[in-house]
Amino acid sequence: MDGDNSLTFTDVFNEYKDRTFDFAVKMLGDRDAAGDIAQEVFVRLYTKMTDHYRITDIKSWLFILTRNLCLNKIRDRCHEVPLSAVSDNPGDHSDRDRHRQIELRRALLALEPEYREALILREYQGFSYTEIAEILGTTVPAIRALLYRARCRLRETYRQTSFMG
Amino acid sequence: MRCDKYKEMLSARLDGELTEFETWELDSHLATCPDCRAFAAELDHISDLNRSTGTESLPADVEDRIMTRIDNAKNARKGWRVFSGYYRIPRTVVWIGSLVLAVLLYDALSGSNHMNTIIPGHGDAVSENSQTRKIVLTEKDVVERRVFTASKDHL
Ligand SMILES: [Zn+2]
Repeated sequence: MDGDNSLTFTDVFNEYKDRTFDFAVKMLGDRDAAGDIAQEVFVRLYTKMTDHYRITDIKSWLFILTRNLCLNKIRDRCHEVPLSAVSDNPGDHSDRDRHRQIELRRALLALEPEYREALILREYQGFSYTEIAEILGTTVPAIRALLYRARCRLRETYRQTSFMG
Repeated sequence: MRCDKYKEMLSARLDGELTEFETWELDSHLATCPDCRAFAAELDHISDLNRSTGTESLPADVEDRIMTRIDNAKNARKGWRVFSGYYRIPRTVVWIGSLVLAVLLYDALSGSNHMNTIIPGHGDAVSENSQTRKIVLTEKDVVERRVFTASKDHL
């Protein structure tokens, strides 16, 4: 649907509202803050569309804006993410799997934002390396190396938190 | 370390981003390296766990707030609709139009000003002002004064 000028605001909103919110929740571990960011993103999109700005790739535009707003929030935030703010929407899983998923979400939130965003875009949002490179403003080889380092860090952190938990 | 290259390949393989040649190269290495096989198993486990986690949906109350803000923005814009086709006029055209209008307005005002000097009444007002304030009126002063008088008349 990228670059399609016949798209209405409602089309884009329905297509991406959950994905952008999910990205923000996983970046921040905080549903309220993620809701505020989703609100900001779609109001800005509406303004751009009614002002006839040409957005060549709406999907990238939405994720770049969501990412920037999340990073601002993380920079401004002076407190740790409370663990209760890590929402759990586990799907159909056993208690053991569910517990592991929560541990992993905590490990993800403990990562540096640059690792976290790359992992979320790849693992949860299913973006290709090319798309992630576009959103993060870098190259495909850099994304490949970044995801490798991010996975190594997540593995270490997950080991620590699951041993402690 | 020699294995770093293969571990990075393992990460890329999870994402389906390995070339055929790299896949062959990685498989050959895995056949001989227990350390990389253990790393691969761990990455697979973490990735499965990640990918099986549910996704979040935008809460209904947030959606309502977004729609309310958009309705407000829509209503605010409706006020501009009196300029029919406002939405479809490119910004540059609006700017150029405003500039032309400003020039025309200035011309009209300074043009009629030449006439003011020969119209009695208007001239009186100017001389009265020059007497009390003891200043030399230029053409620009008169234009400004006229604008002031006009706006005062509207009050
Ligand atoms: Zn190895």
